[in-house]
Amino acid sequence: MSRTLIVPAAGRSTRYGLSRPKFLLQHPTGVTMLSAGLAGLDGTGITRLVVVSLAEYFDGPRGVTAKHLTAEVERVTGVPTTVHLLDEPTTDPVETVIHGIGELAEDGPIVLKDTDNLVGLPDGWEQTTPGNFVTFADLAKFPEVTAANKSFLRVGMLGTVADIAEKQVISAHFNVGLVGFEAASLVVLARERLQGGREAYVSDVVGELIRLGYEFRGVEAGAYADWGTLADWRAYCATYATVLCDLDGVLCRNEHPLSETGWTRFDPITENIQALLERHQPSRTRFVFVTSRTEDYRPYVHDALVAAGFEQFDLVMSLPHARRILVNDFAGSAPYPTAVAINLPRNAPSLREYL
Amino acid sequence: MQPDRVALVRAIPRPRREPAGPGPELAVGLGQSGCTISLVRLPDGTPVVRKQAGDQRSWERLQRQAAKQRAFHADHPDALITAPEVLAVDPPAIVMDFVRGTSLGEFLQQASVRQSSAVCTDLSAFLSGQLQCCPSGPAVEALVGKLDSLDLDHPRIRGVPGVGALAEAIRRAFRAQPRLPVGSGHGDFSFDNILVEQHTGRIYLIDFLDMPLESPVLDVARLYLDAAYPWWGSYGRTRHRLLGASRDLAHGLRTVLAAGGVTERTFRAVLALTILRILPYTGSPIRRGVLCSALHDITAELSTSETSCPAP
Repeated sequence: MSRTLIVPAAGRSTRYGLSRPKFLLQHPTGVTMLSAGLAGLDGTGITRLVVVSLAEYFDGPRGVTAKHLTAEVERVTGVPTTVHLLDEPTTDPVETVIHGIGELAEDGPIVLKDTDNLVGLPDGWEQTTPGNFVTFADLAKFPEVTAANKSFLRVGMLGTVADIAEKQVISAHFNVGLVGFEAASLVVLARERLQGGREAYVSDVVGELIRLGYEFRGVEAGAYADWGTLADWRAYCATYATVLCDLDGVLCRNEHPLSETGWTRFDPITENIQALLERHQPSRTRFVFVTSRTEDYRPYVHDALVAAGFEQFDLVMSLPHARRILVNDFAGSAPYPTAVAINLPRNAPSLREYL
Repeated sequence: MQPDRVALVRAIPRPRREPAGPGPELAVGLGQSGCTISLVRLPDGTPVVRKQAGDQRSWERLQRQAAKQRAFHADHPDALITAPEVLAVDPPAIVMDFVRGTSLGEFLQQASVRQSSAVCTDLSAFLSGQLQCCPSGPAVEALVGKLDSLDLDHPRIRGVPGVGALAEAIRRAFRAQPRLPVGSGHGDFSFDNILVEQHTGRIYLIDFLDMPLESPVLDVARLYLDAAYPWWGSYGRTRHRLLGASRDLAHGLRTVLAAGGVTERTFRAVLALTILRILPYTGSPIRRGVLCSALHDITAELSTSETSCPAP
């Protein structure tokens, strides 16, 4: 099934309280939150992507341009993308979505996704998931999620969504913000019937369609990361790090170059190596090992680090045998302190206590 | 024409798409049924519209349209509501007056409340007059025949829940009022086919169409559909303005029908039939959504009116 993904990105991000909208914040991998959140959608049958945002968020002095955002999203997803810019804020997220629907010449299946999360889908999702679906996760598996900001759904025995409610905890299953419709016109149909002066959410649209007799399948997310609040985002970003770590006296016993074995010897301090590997997920950590050992010893040191369990790392050699000073900037989106230093007694196996 | 209306309409900003530039062909667009519409200049410089059929079937249809338009123009040459004069039939094309105006849908989004109100009042009065002039005649066979000819299994219709039951409810409603005012009608009395001339405020009807039953009741229903369920323009704030402007028109049209002796139930059935006729030609998801929402309303209303007014 060929589907169009519509991403409403015209909100004010008031819960973040930053000067720029949250979806343009830089993810630790270097792309925007928006693009990072789309990374889990491989194999979903998405053939077109429409991002709906506000013109005022773009093209300011030194700001993000819509052209570059489009190119980034296309690079990350491999899907042709349109960034539809609105001159004025919308009244609610559903109206934002309908502006995206206005980009479509023909009715057809669409998927809506929030900008502020990462959703992983179970294997075989594309083949087994019908046009109408709501992706959910179990609160018990994600206890850190702020329940007050979510919509919750009740899923029946046969996997059909029986009920959905915005900001009301009616079950342990919360909507993760990835919702599909067999036709874009269904969103418009429901919005027409929700005209009542109050803000309408996507969960309201689903609820209205269920009342009209349309069936929605509940699909449990395979993985989920919530970036709904600044605290969520900071906690998530904190799982990424660049670790610059000395070798001699920290990961291996300090050796004098003029000793019997000299710098060819790498006597590991196992406790410290294990502490480092357990504390930092290799996929989210860039290890940069620094040492005064000279370049002549690179093959010995490299092989020793691989044997110790490090797969991906950089090795900077021939540094002065002197103080090392790390300097990094901080800001609202990357709060103080962004440079952390640990001074460890030479050859002490106690790194775990300081991480 | 009422002088205050003229003054009101003259205050409207000029259209953005102004015909300009030298050469015989000023603009080209695609019309209904594969027709090509060109804005061309006559030797004396007068801009006219040339509408050319794409094939034999559309040419036959275009000829019937031209005949209807000519007849309407002849009956209403200097009226407030008229039609562009058909100047020539030049197979496979017709040539007609060019109207420098905006469609009613665009007009209601741009115009002030007073301007909109004046135009809507004129339209209601016009349709009321058309209804009053028409004698009562048999309608049920033509309307049910049209409904039966529709392909309810069409990909753009079959997804509508309960469409089979709706078709039955429409049939029952038509049979409950077998006679309606019968006389000439436009055939596609939509916001798109009503032009408000920029500098005179006159209303021009364009794109006349064949009708399953020649009756102004169908025109009122078609206009009501656009007035009560507007779909075009931006979905945001300008649409809210359009909703405000057209709500009064919708109310006026219901009054017109009641005065013409058309029951609410029949009116809803005609509305539903109109939507079912339009849906197969509607690709835009926004328009489809609005139409399907209307269909849900009408289905519920038909069901209620059946319960409260059982067939004799």
